[in-house]
Amino acid sequence: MESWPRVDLDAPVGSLLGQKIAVGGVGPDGTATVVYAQPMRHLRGVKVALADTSRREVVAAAGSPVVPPTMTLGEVVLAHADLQPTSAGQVPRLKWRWSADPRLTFFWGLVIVACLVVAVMLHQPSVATWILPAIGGLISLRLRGRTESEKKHIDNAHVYEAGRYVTPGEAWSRLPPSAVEQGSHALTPADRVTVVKETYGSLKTDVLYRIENSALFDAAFAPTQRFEVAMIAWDPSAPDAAALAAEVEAAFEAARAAAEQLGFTHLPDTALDTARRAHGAARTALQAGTEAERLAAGAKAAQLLRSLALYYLPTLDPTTPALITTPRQIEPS
Amino acid sequence: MNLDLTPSVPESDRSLPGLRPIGLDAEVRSFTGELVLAMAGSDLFTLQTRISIAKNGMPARIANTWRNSGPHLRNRRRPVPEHATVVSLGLERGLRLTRAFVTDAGVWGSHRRPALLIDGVLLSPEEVVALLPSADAARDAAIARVADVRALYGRMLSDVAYRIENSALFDHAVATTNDFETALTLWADVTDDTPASEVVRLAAVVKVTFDTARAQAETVGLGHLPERVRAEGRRAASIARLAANAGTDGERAAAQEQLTRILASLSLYYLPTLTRGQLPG
Repeated sequence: MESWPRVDLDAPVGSLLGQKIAVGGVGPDGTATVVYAQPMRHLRGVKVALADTSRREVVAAAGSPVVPPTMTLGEVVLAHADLQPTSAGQVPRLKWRWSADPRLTFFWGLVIVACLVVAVMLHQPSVATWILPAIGGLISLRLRGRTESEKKHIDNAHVYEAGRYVTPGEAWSRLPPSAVEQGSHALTPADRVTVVKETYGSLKTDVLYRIENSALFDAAFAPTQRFEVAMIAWDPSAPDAAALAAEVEAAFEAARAAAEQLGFTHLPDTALDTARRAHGAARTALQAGTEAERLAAGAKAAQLLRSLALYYLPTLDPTTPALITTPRQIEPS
Repeated sequence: MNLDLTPSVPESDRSLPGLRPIGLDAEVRSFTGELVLAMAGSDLFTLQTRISIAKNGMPARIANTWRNSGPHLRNRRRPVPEHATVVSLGLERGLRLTRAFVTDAGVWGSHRRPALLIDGVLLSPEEVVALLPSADAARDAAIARVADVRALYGRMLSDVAYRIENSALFDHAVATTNDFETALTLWADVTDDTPASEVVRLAAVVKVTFDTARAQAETVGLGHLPERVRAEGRRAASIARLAANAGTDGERAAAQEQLTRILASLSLYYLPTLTRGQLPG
């Protein structure tokens, strides 16, 4: 299925007024999720209506925060939906639930005022017996999902295409694969680093590559250390940003080439056999036809890798689609 | 082992007594109760988080933020996730922060304005910022990065259970740990004359080598101890945890005594040595 048209995460929300956007990214708990956003004109800046598609422990306070127009789309999503964005696409067919539609706030206000005016004009104080509960009901409908932290602004918007709602999983797969227009001639230094980050990220979540070319993930290996240092030193606002970006690209290419040349031989001799077996088991798990087969092979690969106790090999969780999980860090008390 | 945890020269040169520079991507859970002072140009921002019990009976993190400019209602309180960062909470208030410090001597003073205790004097955020050395973005970020690493490393050093369970991080015979200690030593030689690009590189090396040494130590875990003492080591770690969480002084003293005895009998140079009365954890 073709992906949605790309939206620049670095575009100020002031330039995206009225657009309906889906933003994909990683939540603070490490899970990938999609958030729908719609920037709108507002007296004090830009109102950005947000709707999350997944439940989190704590979600941002404001369902539709008002932000300065110079804030970028990526910043708004990070600040108000706690999402580290990776890419964004246009979704013209985004539909809001009627009670949560951000454009209707003014409309509901009008309805309430009109009811009151009518009541006063008709000299009917008894109207208060039904108009006040009605106002209360409307307000509680508007606030629904914002008071209880767990329900907050989830499922308030959906994309409606080809006669049905698009699930969050489908939405994720239809986001543009890259945040950058690849192959374009006008890549800024920041775009070039984003390309490297995306390439590195896709290698890092590829369990077979991780085992085959483990040196790329071992920062004690000199070329890899050079790459990781370059990534930390990268600063988009530095005066020599172009040189820093060039160093990131060169260091990545060098580290990748060196790691791929070493391959399995980067591992200690005693670990070679076990690593090869883990590689085989992981491949079986990824190609497995049935869920049971997949779980069994995945668990075997996870157990083999764990027995090696090498920090640069991936930590596996057979229940996840890509098999890879982030290792848990131990926090001192 | 580098046990010197007083601020290194590069850190204290660009800060004030009682203030510690922190990285903008630092997660708020690592400084519960402390006051964070951050700057975005001439705008100031402070942040303090605490744990409170929510309606559903679960602990929740509440962040109090304040900015010195913009429309009224400058204080804001909201629940935040454990992984929220200083930079994301700043953006939430419409500020692109460039520099941040943390202090345990901060108070939310009268008129709902925060104040900081510097060298025994209570100062407003504006007065504190006026005293700080002028901003130098690249250098400040690098120094904050190392300060974050050293603060975390300091917490690991004082947590006896962590030191036993992840002892490879404290054994300089391990290559990754040795690399980290070398990086810290090189960092200590940084002065105001060191060019900014070199400061950034040295700080990045500290961060990368620390992450590597930590990953290595936490992956190997108790397996780093010689096989014959591994069971003893596991027991020592659980006793250290018991001592740190003990309810009564008597319980603590008993656990302490036992722990001191076991650690002495293990006699491994990279494990902590406790003297009677020293509080672990």
